[in-house]
Amino acid sequence: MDESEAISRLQQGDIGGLEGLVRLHQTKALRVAFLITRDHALAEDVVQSAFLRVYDRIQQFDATRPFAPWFMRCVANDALKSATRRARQLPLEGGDGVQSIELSSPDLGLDEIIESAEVSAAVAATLDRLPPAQRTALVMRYYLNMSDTEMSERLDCATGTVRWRLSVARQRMRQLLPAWLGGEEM
Amino acid sequence: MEKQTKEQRFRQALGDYAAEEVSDRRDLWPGITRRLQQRRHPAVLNLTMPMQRPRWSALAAVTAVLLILGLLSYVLPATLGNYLPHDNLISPARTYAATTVVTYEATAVVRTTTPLPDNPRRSGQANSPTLAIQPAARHALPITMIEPPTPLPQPLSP
Repeated sequence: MDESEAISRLQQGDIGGLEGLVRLHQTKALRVAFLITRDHALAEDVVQSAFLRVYDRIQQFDATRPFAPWFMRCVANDALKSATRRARQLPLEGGDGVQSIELSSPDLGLDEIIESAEVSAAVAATLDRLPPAQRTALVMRYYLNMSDTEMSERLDCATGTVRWRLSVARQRMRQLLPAWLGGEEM
Repeated sequence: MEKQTKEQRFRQALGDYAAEEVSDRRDLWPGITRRLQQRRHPAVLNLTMPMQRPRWSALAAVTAVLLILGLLSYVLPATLGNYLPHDNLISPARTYAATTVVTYEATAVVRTTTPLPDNPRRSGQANSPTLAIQPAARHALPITMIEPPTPLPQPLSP
């Protein structure tokens, strides 16, 4: 079942259409939610709630437009809200006292480093140390390939705010991943 | 070119990390259907709450106790009524009558036994039993028939 057929069936009241949409998009949506929330259970809850909202409002959806970008933006926005809510309850550790992550094999080539598990650990540590808003900006830009305009529309903030968040996030990443990014502009 | 390479590198690293953390075999559909069922049938939620069911044994015990109490309240007065003489039952009217008789008798005795020193003619009548009420007659006389003691004659002036 492709996306348009699933949407058509769901708009006709067939629950199988929703199942088709879930099977098509659940993995990427879960990954987006996890990258932003940094919590598996919270990410599942966010994505399930997003699919339930699709079920409720599918009649308002314009079937001529692609579903996936719209849905991923919804998931990212919901994940940001959940992560912000959780960050208020559990303050992020570290704060300004950010420590650089030393890669243990700086002599290896970049391709080898990327393929190593240490890169994943470094990326995880970097995401953990970023505030939810900056984390969301990074995920939207580098995982969902969204433009500044799309991000500002989805996050309901000015384009300048989006650029500022991205700039701050890049600076933090240069501090956290010096051996990998080397201080050059991304 | 170098700038794009680093950006692509980060994109790739981010995607790889997400793929490591979240398997593509994760299935959200069962959880979604469960939540849909809960929304359609809110009563399903009640199944997770402790539900107190009526205990028929307790209900039967309470009914039996009530039946026994009702039976006792019907049988007991009739049974006790055969053994308790009605004459010995103390009623408020009888208590009042007995008290009144005793009071009149005591007053009469005190007044009739008080000597009158200045009247030798009446001193012989001091112990006169004219006002005494016979014990046998007390039971028969209702309270309204007991006359109050007659007033004592005034002493004669010298």
